[in-house]
Amino acid sequence: MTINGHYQLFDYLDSRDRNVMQGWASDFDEEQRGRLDLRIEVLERAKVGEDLPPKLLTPTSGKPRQRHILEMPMKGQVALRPMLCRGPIDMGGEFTFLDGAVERDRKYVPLDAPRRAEANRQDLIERGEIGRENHKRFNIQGERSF
Amino acid sequence: MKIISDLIYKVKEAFKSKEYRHAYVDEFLNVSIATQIKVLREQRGREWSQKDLADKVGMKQPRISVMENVNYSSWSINTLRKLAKAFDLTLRVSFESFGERIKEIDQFNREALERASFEEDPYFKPEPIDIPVRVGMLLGASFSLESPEVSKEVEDKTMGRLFYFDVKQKTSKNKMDAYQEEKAMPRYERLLETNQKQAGATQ
Repeated sequence: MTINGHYQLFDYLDSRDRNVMQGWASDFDEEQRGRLDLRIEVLERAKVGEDLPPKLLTPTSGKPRQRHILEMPMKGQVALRPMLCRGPIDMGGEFTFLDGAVERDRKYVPLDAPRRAEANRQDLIERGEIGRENHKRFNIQGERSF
Repeated sequence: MKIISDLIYKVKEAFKSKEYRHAYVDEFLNVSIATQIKVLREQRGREWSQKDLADKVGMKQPRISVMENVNYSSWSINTLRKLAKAFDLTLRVSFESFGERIKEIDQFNREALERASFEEDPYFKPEPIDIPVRVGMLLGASFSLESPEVSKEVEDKTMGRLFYFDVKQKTSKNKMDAYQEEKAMPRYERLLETNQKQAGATQ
């Protein structure tokens, strides 16, 4: 479901209802949180049906290729790679953040990050809405789930 | 103000951290420049490929591709000036308060990034104006500028053509010319003549 023609964003919750993205970002510094929040703000402001800002989201690399998993590539001292998918409940109007990784020497850390994100996506499809919650910004350090 | 309150509310606490707020707006700068280059290129028509833009700026196409990427951050004012010239726009570089930047982020979308080139700039483009009294006088009819309704009589005299052209589609005429009716006059005479010929041809 879109909100005023904009995408709705969600975070995946694991089987213990923990927000995986908040856990991933729990030890990020303020600079990383600021950059991450801005990128997600931009995604949230994109209008459904229009092009996203160029290279805001890109397919993940590595084999086997996970065709449903996208990454939000971010340069910096640490190359953050939040991973997400369209939908998976409403494919046209929402994105769900599934997991996070960083990239070092052109490799994901953890190495199997796209596969893990795909596993989370499959789990979310099985569990439905209870497997996710509205996306939480990273700027509120007090709200750590892990 | 509703326009900025949502985002201001969201970031208010976080912006107390200098690192956070600077990282946030720096990231926006990169995202907005990269996105605007692509939006402006597409706004100028399908024929404006990355290669075309590269040719106009004197660069190679891959460099444009790199700049049309939200992850690019090595901007130089000189390069941006060249791009501005290629798009027939002017570059503005200014220091802004965080509040102003948040307003910009809050309204970030394709439409907000589009800019009219000089040719399309409403400040310089001839503006459509209502047909002046002079044409009515030419036709032996009268009506006011405030309500340029076409009387049945005038419509009959012109076979409906002139006024449908002038009043409904309006005539493009520079504002300055509007005040110089003497100079503009021949244009309407020609129009009238053309319409009369066309009317004659259809009879």
